[in-house]
Amino acid sequence: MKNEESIEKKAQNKKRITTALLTAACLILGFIIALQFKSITESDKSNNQTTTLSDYQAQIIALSDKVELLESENKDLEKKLSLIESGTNEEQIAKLESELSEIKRFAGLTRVVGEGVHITVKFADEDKIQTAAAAIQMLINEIKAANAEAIAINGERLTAMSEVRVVNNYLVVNGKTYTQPIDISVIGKQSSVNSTLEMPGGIVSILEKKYDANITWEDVSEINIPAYVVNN
Amino acid sequence: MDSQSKKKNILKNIIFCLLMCLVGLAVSLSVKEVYRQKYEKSNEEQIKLVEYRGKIDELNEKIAFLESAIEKNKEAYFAQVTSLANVDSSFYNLLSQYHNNIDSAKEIAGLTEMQGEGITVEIKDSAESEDVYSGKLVVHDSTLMELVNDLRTAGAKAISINGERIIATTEFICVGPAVKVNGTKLFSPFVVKAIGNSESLTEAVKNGSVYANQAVSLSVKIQTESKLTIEGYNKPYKNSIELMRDYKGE
Repeated sequence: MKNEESIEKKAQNKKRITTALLTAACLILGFIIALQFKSITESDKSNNQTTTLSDYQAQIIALSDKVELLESENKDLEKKLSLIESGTNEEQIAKLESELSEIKRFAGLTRVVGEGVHITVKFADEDKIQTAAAAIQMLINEIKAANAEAIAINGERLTAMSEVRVVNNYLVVNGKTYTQPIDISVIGKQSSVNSTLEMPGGIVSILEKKYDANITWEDVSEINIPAYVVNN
Repeated sequence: MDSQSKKKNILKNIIFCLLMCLVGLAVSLSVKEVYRQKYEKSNEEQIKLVEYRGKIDELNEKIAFLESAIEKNKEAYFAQVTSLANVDSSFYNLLSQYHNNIDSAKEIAGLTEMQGEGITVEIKDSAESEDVYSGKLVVHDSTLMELVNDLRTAGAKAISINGERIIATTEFICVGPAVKVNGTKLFSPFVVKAIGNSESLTEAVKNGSVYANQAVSLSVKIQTESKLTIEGYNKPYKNSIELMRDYKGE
């Protein structure tokens, strides 16, 4: 009897131990899975955060620009206000005159001088200019990207609405037609414009290799750029 | 003997169980360590995020303050100008002339908001994923440059891309997946707004290089707008006139 009981007890014990073991193993497994899962979602979240971080940075730059813009506008207004309240007529006119001339300079409405580069583009084959239209536009674009302040092509000042295209082998700028050579005057930092033009495999070498163009340029300490003439 | 071997067996099981527990603990600890490091890193980002958000709020507050100050100063200034009309009409006329000239120069420069009939063109990178490196599926600097040139040719009076007003010195430069315009990185989709005769603008886009050259696989949507608003150039223009002076010769 006693022996039978003890055997039964032993079997029960064994069963209990197995259950306990299984429970413990399952618990640990669950724990590990939970932790791993948590850390994976966490890393996902932090990846998302990096994109928002750079978003925020871009936003901060844009907003700072706007603050700078508004601050200078407000300063201008305050100056004008104080002048109209207590300044002489001459002082007021001088202030407006300087504001007008700055904006006209920026818009391309006055003849300007400054340090810059003079560039000449000549195609060996006159017909090549037609196929090179996009490359010519890209050359102008690259010069703008070199922080050019003012550009004229064959004496046509580029404004916000100036187009540059080629029609029947003629260059058309501001609706006026020109024959080659293309003559580009730029006011801008000479070092930046030069490094843009000299860039290996850049737009200049594309124009030279693909379109057989001869491109020369020289620094000019006082380059003269005409005003845009408003068409009526 | 039999019961002893069973006892031995149980002991073995217990030791094995303990060992497994230890292994489990070690694994979970190492996982925890990785998690902790990540958490610390994200914590650092969290702090930065809060800092940036604070800065953005601060800047927005500053902008709101400046905008209201500008509004107030403008009102005060023009009230003074108007009051001159009766006192000194010739000087009033002179001032008004200057204001008109400044306004029209600003308009040509692209410094003011403009409204009118026009079109919007939405260009998106292609949804296809094959052949990415052929370059035909993404919007390039040249895509935007040529589109803007076509719109200018069709007589557009004002153009903007994703809020960046196109001015005389606006550049288009590819930077990874973005295109830099006025020094600001813009991403697909590119929404190009143009004010002008909507028929000629639409035709210019349809006949232009965006369709003709590489962009066949890009998604290009043209929409006519009866009233379009294009924002002014949003950066300080004084930075762009540092090297040039008015020509003072004959």
